[in-house]
Amino acid sequence: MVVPNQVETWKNKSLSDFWLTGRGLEQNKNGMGQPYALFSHKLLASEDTDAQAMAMTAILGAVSRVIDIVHGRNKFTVNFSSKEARTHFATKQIALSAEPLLEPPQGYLMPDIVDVLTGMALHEAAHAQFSKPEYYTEMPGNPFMAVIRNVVEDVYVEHLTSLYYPGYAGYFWKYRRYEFDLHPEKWAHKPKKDLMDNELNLRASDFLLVMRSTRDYVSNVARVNKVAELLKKTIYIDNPVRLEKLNTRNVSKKIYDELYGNMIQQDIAYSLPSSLLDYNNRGNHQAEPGSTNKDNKTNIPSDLQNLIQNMRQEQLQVANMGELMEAGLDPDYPPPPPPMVVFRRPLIDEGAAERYEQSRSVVKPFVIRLRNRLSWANTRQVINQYQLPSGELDEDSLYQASYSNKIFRRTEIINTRTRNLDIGLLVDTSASMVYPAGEGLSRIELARNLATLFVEALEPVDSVRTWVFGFNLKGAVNMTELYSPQLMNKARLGMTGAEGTTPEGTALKYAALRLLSEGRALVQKVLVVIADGNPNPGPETKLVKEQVRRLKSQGCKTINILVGDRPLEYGYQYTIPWTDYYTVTTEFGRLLKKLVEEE
Amino acid sequence: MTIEQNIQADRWGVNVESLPKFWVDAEKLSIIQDLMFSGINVMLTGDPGTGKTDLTKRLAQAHNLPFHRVNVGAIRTPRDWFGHWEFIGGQTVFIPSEFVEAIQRPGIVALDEFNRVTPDIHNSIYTILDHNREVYIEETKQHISVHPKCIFIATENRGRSHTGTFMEDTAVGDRFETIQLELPPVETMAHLLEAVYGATADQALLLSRITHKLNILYHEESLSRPSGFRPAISATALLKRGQSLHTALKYTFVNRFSPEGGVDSEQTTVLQVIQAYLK
Repeated sequence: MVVPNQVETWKNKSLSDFWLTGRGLEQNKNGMGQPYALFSHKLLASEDTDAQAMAMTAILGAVSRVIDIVHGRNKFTVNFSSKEARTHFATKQIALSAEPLLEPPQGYLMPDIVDVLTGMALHEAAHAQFSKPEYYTEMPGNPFMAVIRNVVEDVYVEHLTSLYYPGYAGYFWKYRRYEFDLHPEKWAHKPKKDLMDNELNLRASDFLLVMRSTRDYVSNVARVNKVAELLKKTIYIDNPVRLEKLNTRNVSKKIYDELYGNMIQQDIAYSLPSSLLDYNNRGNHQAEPGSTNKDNKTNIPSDLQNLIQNMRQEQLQVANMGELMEAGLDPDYPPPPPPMVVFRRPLIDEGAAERYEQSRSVVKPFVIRLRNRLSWANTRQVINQYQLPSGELDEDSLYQASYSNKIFRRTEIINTRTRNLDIGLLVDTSASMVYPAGEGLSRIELARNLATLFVEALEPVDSVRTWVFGFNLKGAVNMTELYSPQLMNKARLGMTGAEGTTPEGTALKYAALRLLSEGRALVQKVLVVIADGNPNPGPETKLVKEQVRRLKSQGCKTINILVGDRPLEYGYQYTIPWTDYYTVTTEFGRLLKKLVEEE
Repeated sequence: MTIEQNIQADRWGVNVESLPKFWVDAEKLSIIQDLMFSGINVMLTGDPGTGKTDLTKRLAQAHNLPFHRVNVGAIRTPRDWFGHWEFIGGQTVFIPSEFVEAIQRPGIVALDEFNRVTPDIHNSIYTILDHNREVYIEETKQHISVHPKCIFIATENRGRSHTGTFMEDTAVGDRFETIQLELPPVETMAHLLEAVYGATADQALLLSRITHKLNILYHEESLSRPSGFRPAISATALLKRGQSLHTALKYTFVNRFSPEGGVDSEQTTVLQVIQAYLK
C-alpha cells in the first residue's frame, strides 16, 4: 500500500528533478550535478516553431526513456497527440496530451510538467503492458459499468507498475493530481432532475473521485466509500505476481454489483455527464479529425509535430548542447540557440531521377569542357635530373669528367603524379532559392544543374573525389548528403528542394569538417559554395567570414558561385557570379588552377 | 601426500553441484566440469563482472586442484609463455616460467583475458591446446608434455566495448568450448551481496535490481557499457563504511557513465533507473 509519508514528499517536490538536474543523489545541495538539462517556458512560448520543437523533443526523449526502462526499448513510441498521432496500443503508440506544456497550470514549473507527462505516459504504457485484451474488446453492458471497469483497470495497472518500480509510484500520483484535482468542479457530480438518474451518476462520479483523487476524497454516500474500500483491499496488495493473476473483469463486476445492486434497468438508455464520458475516453486525447476547435490545446499543430518527429527520428548530431541549454534558460542570453546540425541521407523519390536527368541534359555540352579545364591535374610529368653520380650518361656534362663524377642524368616519367583534389560542393537549399536566376530558371534549378555539371565532369577523373551537400535551416541545420564517395547514386542530386532559411556559416563549417575528415590525407581540399548570397543575418554571416579564414589557414580553398541577383560581399575570398555555363566553367577552371598552383 | 595422491583421494572427475558463495547456472556448472574432466579446454565469456575469473579459482578450490593463473594480457612476445632470459653470475640463463611448471602437473591453468594479446602471441601454445598437448621449448631444448590432468580454462571479454581486446584466430577459438556466464538472477544476486559482502537485505535487493536493469539497458543498446557485479560490490563496501545510500550509488553506478549530453546523457538514464527502485 502507498505509505502516507511518501505522498507527503511527492506533494512538495518534483520527482523528475531527480534526473533532470543530475543532482538526484547529491547530498550536498550545492553540488554541481549536470547543468539544468531542460528548457524554460520561454522557448515553448516563443513564436519560433523550431525552438518549441526542440524543447518538446527533449521532453519527449526524457519521458520515453522512463517508459523504455519499465517496458523495454522501442516497445512503445511516445509522441504528443495530434491529428496524426493517437494512442494506439496495437501499434504500440502512446500519444500524450500536450496540454500540460502548452497551458501549464498555475505554479507548475518545467519539472512538474515533466512529472505529469511521465505519469501520463507510464499510465498508458501500463495499460498496454498489463491490461488483458478483453479490456479493449469487450463492450460493457451500460455506461456505468464502463466507468467502473475503467476505474478498476486504471487502479490495477498503476498499482502493478508501482510494485515493480516503487520509485515511479509518485509519477502516477502527480498525474492524478493534475488530472482530477486541479479543477474539482469538472469532476464533481452535477445534480439531475430525474432522481434515479441523479443517484446513479452521483455514485459513479463519487466512486471515480474516491479512487482517483489525491486529496483523500470521501463520498457522502456511505456505500461508495464501502465499495472503494473493498476495491482497495483487493488491489492494493504487495505481491505483484499474485496481482497479475487477478481477473479485473470479475472484480469490476463485483464492484458494480456492490455499488448499484439492482438499481440499473438494462432496458433504459442512460446517459453519462460529460466528465464521465471524458473519463471513459481518456487516452484518446485527440480531437476527432476534421475538428476545427481552435482552442483545442491537447493537440499540437501538424507542422510542430513533423518537426519533432524529424528531430527524434533522424540521427541527431547536437552541435553544442551546453550553449543550447544556456540559451533556453537565461532569458537575457542574447543570441538565439545555436541550431543542431543533422546530416541526412535523403531517400530518392520518384521525381528525383527525372529532375536529375533534366539537369544532365542541360549541362551536357559543358561537362567535357569543365573536365578539360581540370585536365592539368592529370598531365603526365617528365622529370629530368642532372649531375648524378650514376644513371644514363649525360653528354653535355662530359666536360666535367676530369674533376667530377657527376656526369649522369636520369629521366623519369611520372604517371602517378597527378594533382589529387577533394572537392566539396555546398548547395544552398533554402527557401530564397525559389526566386528566378534568369532565363526562366529558378535558383535551385540552376544550383542543381551546376551540381550535376560538377559531378558529371569530375566523376570519371580518378584523382578527384567529390562530395555534394545541400543545406538549409528548418528546425535544425539540415545537411543533406547528395553525393559522396560512399553515396554514388547521382539521382539523389535531384532531391534538392528549397525550404527553410540559410545557415551558411554553420553549413560551411560542417561541410568542411566532413571534407577534411573523410577526404584523403595530404590532398588539396576545395570547397565550392553555390548560394544566392543571402545568408541568415547575425552570427551566420559573421561565421562565413570566420570559417573561410579558418579554412584558408588549413589549406582548404573556398570558392563561391553566386547564383543570386545580389552580389553581396560577405566573406568569400573568391566569388564567381553566375552569367552562363560557358563563362562560369572557364572562370572556375582558371581560378582553381591559379589557387592550386599557388601552393 | 603428493598432488597425485591428493587428487585420487578427492575423487578426481566427480562433479560438484554448486560452489560455495558463488552462483553459476547449474547446467552450465555441470557442463564446464564435464568438459574439463574430459580434457577439453573451456572458454568462459560473458559481460564484465559475471565472475569468469572468480569461477576458475573456485573450481580449483572445489576440486582441491592446484591453481595457476596466467595474466595473458601481460605476455608481450610469443616466447614469454615459456620463460625469460636473465643475467646471473656472469652468464645469461633461461628461467622457465611458472606456466611451464604448471602444465606438467595436475591442476587448473587459468588463461585470463585470453584475447587481450595480438593473435600471434597464441601461436606458440597451439600445440599445447590441441590434442598433441606438448611443446618443444627451443631455449632449453626440452620436449614438454602437458599432464593428462592439467585443465585449461580461458576467460575472455568479447564485444565492441572492450577496446583492449583483439579478434582471435578461429584456430584458437576452435580449441575451446565456449560457455557464456551471466549475472545471477535478482534474488540470488541479492542473497550473495548479503551473505558474502555484508549488505543489508534491502540494500542488496536494491543494488541487484539496479544492476540487472542497467545490464538489460546495455543489451538493448540504451547504455554503452555493461554493469556486472562490481559496482554493486563497491556500493556495498561504501555502505558498510558508513556512507549514505545516495552517495554510495552516485560514486559507483552513476559515475561509471558519462554526463555528456545533459538530459540525453547516459547518467540521466542511470538516475532514472535508480529512481525506479528507490522507495
